[in-house]
Amino acid sequence: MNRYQIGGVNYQIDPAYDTPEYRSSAQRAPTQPLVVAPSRLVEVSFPVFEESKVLPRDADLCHQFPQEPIGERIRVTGRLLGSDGRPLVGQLIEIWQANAAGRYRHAVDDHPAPLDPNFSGAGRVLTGPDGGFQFLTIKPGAYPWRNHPNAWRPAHIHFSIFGRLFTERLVTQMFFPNDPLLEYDPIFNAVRERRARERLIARFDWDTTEEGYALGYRFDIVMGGHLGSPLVAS
Amino acid sequence: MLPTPSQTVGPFFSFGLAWMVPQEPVDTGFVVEGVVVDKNADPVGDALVEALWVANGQAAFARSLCEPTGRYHLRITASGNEVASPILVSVFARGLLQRLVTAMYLTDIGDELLCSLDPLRRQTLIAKPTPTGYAFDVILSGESETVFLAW
Repeated sequence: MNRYQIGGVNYQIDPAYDTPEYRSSAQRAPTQPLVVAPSRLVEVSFPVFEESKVLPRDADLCHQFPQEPIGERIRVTGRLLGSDGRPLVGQLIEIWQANAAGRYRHAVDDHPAPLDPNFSGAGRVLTGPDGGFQFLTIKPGAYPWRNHPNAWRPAHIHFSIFGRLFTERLVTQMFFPNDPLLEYDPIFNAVRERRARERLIARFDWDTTEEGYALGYRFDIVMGGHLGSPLVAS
Repeated sequence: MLPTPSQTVGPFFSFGLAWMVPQEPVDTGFVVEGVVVDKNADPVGDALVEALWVANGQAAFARSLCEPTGRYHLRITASGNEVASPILVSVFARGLLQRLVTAMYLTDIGDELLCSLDPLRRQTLIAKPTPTGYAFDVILSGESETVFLAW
């Protein structure tokens, strides 16, 4: 497990596989302890991603169709950093999300909310020289799920980041500030440390809010060596 | 800085992640295929399987989205004897709050990791030859569970 030491205190960053409040973890979480691999086995670099495969329009989820999607237009801006605070440059970030009504463009999603013909919910971008990235999209809606009675997921955007090394590969979710559903979400709360959970919440940002056009949110992502980085003091 | 924690990939990722799966058949190298199953041996039809390997000193990557039958299919674009063992495999799925990582060996080379495992568990990391490549099933949980790695 990934533990970090700050001010002499150990923090467990990542959620445990076996989290009973998250019902489907019961059938899928491993029951045996993880085996610690020799570092030379897992410290493999990802291949350099072909830049030509990501186009500027891939980061603009509001203009992938002839018409614009319905919803509250938002600009999500952030930086991708190593745990030492240094920017990670030229890294691929993939995002996917529900539409403004809380429906995914996926055959298995049977939530009775409308699909938006002008919204795919998928985007990608490469980080710039300062590790920066930006997406233009719409705010996703909350949606019900079957985890427990009257269960609702708070609005979120899924993020996938590779990192430089295999050990850094990260899939996570970005949430929105002041969402009343956060308190009740077993996935968000599976991260037991409050300070680590706060990393998952974007903050509203006037500087990137564009007058008359879109609200700005900032979401910085800090890569660790998930699954068990060394203790790092910072 | 405190790192960003992991969260589940969820069930509805295909429209966002399938773009990296080759659309046309590739005929170089060999295929690794298998099923991902849960504690009840039921197929995990919504798993994402990724492989990272090194061949001739170069890293390469492939991604597969499981079919409803739990079956995945990865094209390793090098020949079996060019690929360094093991191939690193990540499995993401609804119900998994972090990915699971395992190591797939094309042959039992008896390295430090394999030698540290008891014989039955060791077998979960050894792929089986097939006419087109190798078979490698991933058992997420239960008695015959695949060996998963940390570092």
